[in-house]
Amino acid sequence: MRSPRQCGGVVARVAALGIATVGLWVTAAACDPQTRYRVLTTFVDGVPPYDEWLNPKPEPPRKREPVPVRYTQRAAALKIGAQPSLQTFFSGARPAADKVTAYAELVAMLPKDVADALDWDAALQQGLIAPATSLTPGESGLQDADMEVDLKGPMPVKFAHAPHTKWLACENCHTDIFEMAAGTAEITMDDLNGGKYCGVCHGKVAFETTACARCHPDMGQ
Amino acid sequence: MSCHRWSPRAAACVVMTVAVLCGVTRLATAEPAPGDLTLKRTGDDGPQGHVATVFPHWRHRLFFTCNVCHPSLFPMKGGDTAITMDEIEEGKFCGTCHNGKIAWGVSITTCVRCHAEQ
Repeated sequence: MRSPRQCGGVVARVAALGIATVGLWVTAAACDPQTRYRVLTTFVDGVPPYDEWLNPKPEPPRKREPVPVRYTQRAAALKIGAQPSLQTFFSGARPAADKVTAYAELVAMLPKDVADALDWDAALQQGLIAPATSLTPGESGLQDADMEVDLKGPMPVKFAHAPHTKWLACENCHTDIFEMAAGTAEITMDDLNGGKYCGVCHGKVAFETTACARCHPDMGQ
Repeated sequence: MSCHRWSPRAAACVVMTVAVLCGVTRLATAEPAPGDLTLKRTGDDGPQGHVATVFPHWRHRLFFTCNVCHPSLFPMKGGDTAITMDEIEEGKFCGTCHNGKIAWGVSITTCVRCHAEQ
């Protein structure tokens, strides 16, 4: 920064003097409350009367807004165990997994598959989770089916309906994703990874397409 | 004489930058669970509007099999259903269960259960 002397001229000297005076005034204001009040009212609007400003009334405690919780904390805030409505819907004893509030905790609790990922099927079979199959209590929304479909090709698959029908009703897959007649779809791994056919669920909410041996027994891992 | 002391403004700048970086890192490390759906917000209620919600698919399948919600309430291929609070309150979509009868109902006290800062 250039000094006033470098600028030269009377204007600069007057300006420097002015700035210095204001500076001194403001500095002095740090000591004396009356001066500080004068400085404050000069520069700021809406200052309360002097007495009130000098001895401010204690503010009533503010009611705090609920703080939004982060995703990782949110599940804890759900207080699953304290939901009267869901407890009414599920009248019987419920598995411990119901109360889990973080996905990592669930993964640690439930069985793993060949790819070391959460094995939902095993969890269901072992009764570690007990999802209802219908919104009408006591009614099943699922239909049993156990036929197996041989998917032919270089990497054959024996598709088993049975584990699927523990989760899904016929209309979940047929006929939007697969025709009813077996063998009508030509399925590639690229299709799956692109979210078609099995890839509508597998790789998203069902086990990953990298868990090869769960479909291709020849590729034992 | 050179003077290299921190000005209050520069110090505040550094503090803010560190805070923002911390926030970004925390966001980036908050790993979503498989099947979590971030519902895009299209509302125009501005900065006062509700924050977007992440639907935790895994929590729901602890309680219900796939067929309960799919495909009658939501198509199997997820993420394209436009949902409004009005529709939920009318008992559609999430409101099929989140009505205080099957699961907790939507009300002013339950907003943050879904509309939580991510």
